[in-house]
Amino acid sequence: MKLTLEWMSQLRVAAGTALQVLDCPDGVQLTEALEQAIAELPDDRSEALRPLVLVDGRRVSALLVALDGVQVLTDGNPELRPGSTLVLSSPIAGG
Amino acid sequence: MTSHPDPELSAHEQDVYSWQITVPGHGDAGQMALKGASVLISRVGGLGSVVALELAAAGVGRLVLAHGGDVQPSDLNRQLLMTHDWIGKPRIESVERRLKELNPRLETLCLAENVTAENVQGLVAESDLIVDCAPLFEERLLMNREAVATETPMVEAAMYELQAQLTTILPGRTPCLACITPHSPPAWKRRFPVFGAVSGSVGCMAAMEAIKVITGNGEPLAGKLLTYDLRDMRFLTIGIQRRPDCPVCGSAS
Ligand SMILES: [Zn+2]
Repeated sequence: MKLTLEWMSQLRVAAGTALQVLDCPDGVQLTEALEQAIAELPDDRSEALRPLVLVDGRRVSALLVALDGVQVLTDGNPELRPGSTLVLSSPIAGG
Repeated sequence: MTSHPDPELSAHEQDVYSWQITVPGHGDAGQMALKGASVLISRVGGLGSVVALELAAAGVGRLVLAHGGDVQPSDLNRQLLMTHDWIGKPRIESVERRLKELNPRLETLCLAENVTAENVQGLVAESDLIVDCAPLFEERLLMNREAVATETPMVEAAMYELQAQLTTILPGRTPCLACITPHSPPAWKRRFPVFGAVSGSVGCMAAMEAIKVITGNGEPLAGKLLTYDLRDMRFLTIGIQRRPDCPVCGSAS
């Protein structure tokens, strides 16, 4: 099934792309989809992005994740539906 | 929000604000609410300069401003209240001077320091609303904690590169900053890429959020995070949630 990922803030710069379309197995869960997305990027992009998203296979606690427009809290790992859109952002600040 | 002792509008103020008094839902009552309000802005840099300018222009009666350090050349691409002739002199003096040039009726309480654990209580106690424009998560989380403890609304604005984010925290009703970012993120660097036009864009929107909360006119971004990228003009609004285990506003806090 197809999923769309939208990387925001530092993640967009690290990923080198704003949008990524994934072809995932049915029933894939959020964290596994992120693993796949990072693995499908070129090596240097993957290396830059991974520590901002996943640590020891778990999502970074400061990562903001929205599934179809609604935030998913860090301890949630919902099963994704075909056509879902994920928006991911690392925290940013003023200055 | 009526911290100002004299919210009546003079004939001169009626004239100055005549273009906005006619905004539907605003009127004299909205203008008097702005005049009666005291708003904390910390810091008054790329974001905060524009928030402060817009709130001073809109007729907010009192601004509580906290910003440490001296004007640096590298401030001048975005910190619109700093001027070239003030390089090497205190930023807060430049801020106060520029704001009073725009609005001599503005009352200011200026502190030549950034927000700290020692001064945050006093600053928030002077304010009906906070606009958080600080670059360091330690400062932002201190203000968030105090905002929640005192039930003071807080507008949260942030930027990065050509992107920006904005939300309005209404304590007790919406997620707080710690629900979104519970800890200071280790990957965050104090210096980051940004254009002044990006901080200016989100600064204007943050000022508008403050005006909406103060006057009750319009719908603030309560429980919603606006995120946008000016590189491709994509704007998204995300529904944000309270963390039940939030260390600041959660049930166990
Ligand atoms: Zn919270």
